[in-house]
Amino acid sequence: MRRVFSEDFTVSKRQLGAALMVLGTALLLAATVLTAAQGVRLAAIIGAFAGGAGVLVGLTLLPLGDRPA
Amino acid sequence: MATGGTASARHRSPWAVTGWLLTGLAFALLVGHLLIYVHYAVGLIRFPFDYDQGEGFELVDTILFSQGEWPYRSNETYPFYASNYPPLFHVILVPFAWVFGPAYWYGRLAGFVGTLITAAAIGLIVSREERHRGVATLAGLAFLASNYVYHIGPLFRQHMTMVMFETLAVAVLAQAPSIRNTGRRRWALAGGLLLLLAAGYTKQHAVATCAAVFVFLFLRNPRRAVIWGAGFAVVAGGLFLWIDWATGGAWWTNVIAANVNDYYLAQFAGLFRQWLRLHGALILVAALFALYELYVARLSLYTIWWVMAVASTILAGKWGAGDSYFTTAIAATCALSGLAAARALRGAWALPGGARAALKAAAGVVVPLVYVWYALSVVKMPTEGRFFGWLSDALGLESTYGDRYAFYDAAGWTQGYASIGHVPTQADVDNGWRIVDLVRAADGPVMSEEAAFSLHADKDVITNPTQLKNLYENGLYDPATLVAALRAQEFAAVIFRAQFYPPPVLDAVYEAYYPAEAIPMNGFSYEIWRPGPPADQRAAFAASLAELQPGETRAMVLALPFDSALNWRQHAMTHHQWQAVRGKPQLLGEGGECMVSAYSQGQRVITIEVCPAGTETRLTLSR
Repeated sequence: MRRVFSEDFTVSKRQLGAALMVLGTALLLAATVLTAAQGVRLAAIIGAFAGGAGVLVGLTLLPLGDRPA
Repeated sequence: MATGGTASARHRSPWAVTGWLLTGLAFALLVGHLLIYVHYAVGLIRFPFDYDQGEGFELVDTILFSQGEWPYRSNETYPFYASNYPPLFHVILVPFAWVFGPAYWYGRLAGFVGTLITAAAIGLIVSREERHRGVATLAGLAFLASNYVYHIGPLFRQHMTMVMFETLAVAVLAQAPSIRNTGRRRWALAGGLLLLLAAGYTKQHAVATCAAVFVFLFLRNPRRAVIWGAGFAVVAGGLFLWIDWATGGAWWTNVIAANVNDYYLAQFAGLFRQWLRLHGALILVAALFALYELYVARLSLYTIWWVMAVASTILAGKWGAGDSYFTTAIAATCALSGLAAARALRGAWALPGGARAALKAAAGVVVPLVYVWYALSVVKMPTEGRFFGWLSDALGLESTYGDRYAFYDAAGWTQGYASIGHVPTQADVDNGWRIVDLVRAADGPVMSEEAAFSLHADKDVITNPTQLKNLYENGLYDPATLVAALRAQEFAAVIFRAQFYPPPVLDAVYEAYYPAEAIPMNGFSYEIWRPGPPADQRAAFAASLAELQPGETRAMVLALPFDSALNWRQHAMTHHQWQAVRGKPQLLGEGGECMVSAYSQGQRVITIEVCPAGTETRLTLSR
């Protein structure tokens, strides 16, 4: 964490990919919970699409390694 | 278009000549779009009334600020008015209000100049990053050519000023993290974030650009993003809390809570499809550039801004939203596609040598072709007048709006798309002044759905209709006081254009007023509603309708002149859900001065005889 908040730290493609995967998964989970609680709703559909896209894009960024995002 | 080639022979090749011809065509078409935009802006700046729904209320906000008053106030007390927009656009216009009083031209001029500054900022971004003035100019002109920018640019609305501040903020902040000199970097960050703050306090929709900026700063250096983000949050949040405190909580209610509206997916989908169709040429290039930065190069603020701005267009599905919600995405698209085009012409892609050379060779023709494709997609123009009548005839273009407006728009129409774009005529101006004369002559305040008539007549502006509607639908507005005022006929007249009021308010108008006159202006019918008879007479009439037995007759006197009573009777019967029985009304009485009509409701039939009685009118109901 200290390194992340250092003067010269820059987020890499791999880290961006991981972050997108985490955010995407969270969105997918939230959409699932929302659907289970309230049925199929627009917000859940949008959340699921955005989450799915985030996970997919994140996955494709992982192989790009330490290059700056 | 100049590709940075070396030999003059290459410049004379058919490929190069084609490129130059297409470049000339792209410039000619986009300059043509600019001239049409200027023509429209001049026409609107000269028009002294509301052109788009709600413009007048932005002027009212400006006037209130010029008098040192907040427009964020209770909607439940006279004059039942509050604003739902942040203050900056109106505050900027305050000096104009001091000098010129209430007028539409300076707000429209500010909006128009804002779009020119935005276009210049887009050009500056492309020129600075890619050092290609030709494409920079095309990118700026492309922004001004958009049907959406054309629509909204010269209106007395704050949206395009927000886009201007957003674009300027992005232009300043995009290079800020790369500045090595600490002092200069801090100044750039502070200046950029100040512009971002200005965008947010011009209109709430700037939140997408705020998100883009802080994501970008975080990717470049999380420490700097957190420090500057905390500072930004303190300033923006402090301002928010101060205004909320100063207005007794009315700021939160009117600016935040009132903007939570119903959502229509079909409206968003229709607008998104339309946006893709009109701007597809540039969107395609921008999307490819975004993918290139994501996987090959480094993400710039321009790309992150574009992604966030496009994502934020999903809010265009809200009730009351529309094509204006795409204008930030259009600015970002023009900037990003301009960067891609200029880079392609310079052959500066970070790609394997063969691919880069092939791209550069193709770019000389493909780039101008993209702008020609775009310019031909966004065609719009007036279809009457000495020049535009001839031009539209020559091009075979007819008005998209039939007899309503003389205006062709390649965008067509979809739910949420503003059906404007025509230049108001002298007849529109004359009819507007006719309505002002009616308001001036009215004995008391007038509740008008648009502010211009009351402002010109130097009377109080009563209500901000859509604001009342939004608050009512969110359970935040009790219309009881306004309804009571309407039922007591405290307003000398009511002027409707679209009837965007809460249902109880509309119902009170229907009950206590009647449509006396309709005046066309700008393709809309402005209905002038006059007070009907007093409440006791209306109640007696309604009771008679409900209680009248077969063979029974009831007579009453209405405190209305004969012609007005005829209009009121027709409206009142419709309001009480009675239908006119077919057949012409009969003339009765000495000299045929009375009018008899029959109405039915289910199996019940009533005849109503209306006769003049001095300055009043006698009504006889028979069943």
